[in-house]
Amino acid sequence: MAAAKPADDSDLLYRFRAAHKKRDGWCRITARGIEWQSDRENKALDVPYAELASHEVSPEDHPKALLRLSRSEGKALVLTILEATPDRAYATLCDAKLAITACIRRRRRRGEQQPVPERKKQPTAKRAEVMRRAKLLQTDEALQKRHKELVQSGAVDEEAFWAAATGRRAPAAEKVIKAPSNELLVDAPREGESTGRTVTFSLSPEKIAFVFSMYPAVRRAHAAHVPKDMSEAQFWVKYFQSRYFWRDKGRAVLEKGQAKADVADDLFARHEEPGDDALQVAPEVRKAVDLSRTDADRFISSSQEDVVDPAAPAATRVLRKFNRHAALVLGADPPSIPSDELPVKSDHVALDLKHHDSKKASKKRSVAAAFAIEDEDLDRPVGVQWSEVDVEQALTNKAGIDALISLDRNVASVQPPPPKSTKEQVEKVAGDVRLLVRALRFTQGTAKRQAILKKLRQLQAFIDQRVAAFTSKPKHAHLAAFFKPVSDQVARALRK
Amino acid sequence: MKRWEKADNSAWAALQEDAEGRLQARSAQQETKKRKRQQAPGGVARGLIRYVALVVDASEAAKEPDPRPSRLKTACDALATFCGDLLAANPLGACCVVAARDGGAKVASDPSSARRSHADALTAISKAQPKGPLSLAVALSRALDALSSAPEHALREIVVVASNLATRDAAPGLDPVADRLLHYGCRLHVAHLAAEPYVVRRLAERSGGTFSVALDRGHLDRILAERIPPPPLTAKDAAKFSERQPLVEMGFPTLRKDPAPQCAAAAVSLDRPPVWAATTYTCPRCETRVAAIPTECPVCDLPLVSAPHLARSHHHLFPVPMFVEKSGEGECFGCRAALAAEAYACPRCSSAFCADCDEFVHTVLHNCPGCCGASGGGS
Repeated sequence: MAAAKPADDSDLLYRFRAAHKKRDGWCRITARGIEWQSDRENKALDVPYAELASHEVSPEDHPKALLRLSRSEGKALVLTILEATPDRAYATLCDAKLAITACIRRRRRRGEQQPVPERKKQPTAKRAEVMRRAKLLQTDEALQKRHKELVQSGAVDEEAFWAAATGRRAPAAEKVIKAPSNELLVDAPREGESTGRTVTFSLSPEKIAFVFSMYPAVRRAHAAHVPKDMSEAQFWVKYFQSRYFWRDKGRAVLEKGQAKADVADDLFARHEEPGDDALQVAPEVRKAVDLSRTDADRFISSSQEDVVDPAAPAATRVLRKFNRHAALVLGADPPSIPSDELPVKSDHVALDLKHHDSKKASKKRSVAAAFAIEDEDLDRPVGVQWSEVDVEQALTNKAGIDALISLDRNVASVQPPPPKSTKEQVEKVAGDVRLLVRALRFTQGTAKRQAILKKLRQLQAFIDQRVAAFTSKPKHAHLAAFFKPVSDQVARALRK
Repeated sequence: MKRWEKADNSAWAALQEDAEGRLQARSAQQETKKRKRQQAPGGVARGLIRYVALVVDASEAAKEPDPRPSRLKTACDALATFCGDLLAANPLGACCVVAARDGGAKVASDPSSARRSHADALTAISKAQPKGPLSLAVALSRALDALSSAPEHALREIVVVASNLATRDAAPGLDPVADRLLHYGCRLHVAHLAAEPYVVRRLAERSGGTFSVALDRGHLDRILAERIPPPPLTAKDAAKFSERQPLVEMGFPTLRKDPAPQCAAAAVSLDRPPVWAATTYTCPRCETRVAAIPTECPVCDLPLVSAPHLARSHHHLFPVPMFVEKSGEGECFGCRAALAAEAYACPRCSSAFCADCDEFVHTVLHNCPGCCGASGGGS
């Protein structure tokens, strides 16, 4: 049934079908407030405007049309609009919202409605802190239970809980901005990867991007010939065998490699273009890293051309290469290849330049967990276990004196620890008490402090009950002593 | 490994040649004389409450086997020893461990006075494979974040054992970190296992710290050992601490020995699982049980110390005065042995001690037995 205005209610402004907690009924918006009456059961809800803090509606694309009425104190009321179609339900929802808004505005104009107090902006944690808290709750079941009991029940504030639970820990680590790599020259094999007569290069997409940034001729050759004329592996074998790759290594290396290098047809030299070595950064950076000329040269020669030493033209090429490398490292953006040129290949390609019979399997270095600290190790008591202290013997050496001075010693226990169930109970209660006592320090406001003290009294009652239960049975009487420290702590907190 | 590499070369360092070219080993007396020259005078304001971050370079360069077995292992072992000695000599302070690896850094152990957790963290780092470049800016920044939980009256220090000559830092580089170091008054001490990068030395000196290059493992231990005594405060630091917090609140917990283990809070924070121990300490303010001291109460943040801990810090402020050399006559006041050619006398009580007892009094006892016997207590 659509919304309609019955003629008998004088202050009725709007009436529509709505469900509350799966109970169908009628919702009436009047000049006094919003009322809801169930169809079958004698259940009614009433939210006067004086108690209404805010009203919210669900978005249009939501599967249900929901109206949420938040009270200043107490739980909010959520109504689901009941209509034949979603469009009509949303239209009814909008009308209801307008009606409520109009009433509130009218009341404010008359001075009957108190302005909604601005919610005190809770200090929002940074995103990293929020993620850290969520991760802590996921990994620590005990903390999650404690959070549910204390925060969701309203005993402790969210911020007070986390300030109490995590103590003075270091702030969450901000995202580390890693500097761009300076491994732009993939010229020399890394140590451990060359075995005698075989040189192995391990390429990753990142290194390939570096090569393409450093040597645009290689990028052009790759675009022109892969996969049309050769496969990816063949291309890179050709590159590492080419004169283009070995030309700056020095005469001895060049002569040795000439026998195997494909010098007749240098695929890459064909794709070279003038300006490939040009620097691509700001002039002040270029000036700082330009190895080909000094300030004296610039003073003498005002042109922007690089000074070329006619006696060593190869040196110029090397200087330009290093200039370009330095410019790319110091540049604003790390080198990256355009997306349309992204090679489709596996992550790593291990190439053997020369064929040999026994191929050493590449060692995949598996990194041990460097930062995994075993939690159980934290449970170990700190200090030295002493069954008897021989003072005279201890005084004869430095270690003994240190041990005597230090109070980190545990006397061997006479009685065994409590059974597992009692141990868990004690740990839980003790943990709750410590958290609550700590939260008391961070909580401002009498109401919240009273809530925490109320919780502490409940825990005190629980402890008294357990102690009484243990004491009543002679066999378990000794277990009551395990609750004594917690009981003392609660009594101390309640006394203050 | 060659035989000469396996041999312990430290024995050669103790040999010296006299005027005629004959070899002589340095004697304990010469060691004592060297220590006396290096001992700082007493009555100087020192930072007794120290929060020290130990930064380990676990980058690719730490794989180098110089010193053997690797720079990383050497650094971790030296720092583990240093951490134990530091916390023993400065019980009011705390340490934390930061590992710098693959361009990033991670806090491996939180600031605390629990030597075991730091030793375990360093062991875990030494077992992991070094990887990637070193970013000094990130490592120092992470160390400063870890030290942010230190109270304002604490002196903050960062000790870095570096292996990598290069540092790969995103723009704008080390300048923001340098500013943060100066802002917090944090001193940077660097012990490098390779060589001296100028920028790192400059950074350390700007912060009021030191920079050294270690020649071998023994030298590295000596460099780190120089950082153990609490450093003198500068006038600026002293004024800052006295202005912010002239008095530091501390609690003296009650020692409780129970016949059965009791549930005690983990010293670091409440989200760690509790510890069960028969000997516990009760915080005087909130009655929280902790398993070991010195520590901070995880509930009320009150520093919990005992009188011996304060005494161990007290002797840094008022050290035993240097004994004066005199001719050996009579017997040693400490061990009652006949005095050799050289003896050492306390300038206050004139009690004579042999060289061993002199060493013992100054390095272990920190109190002159003669003065204690004469006055009934105190040095």
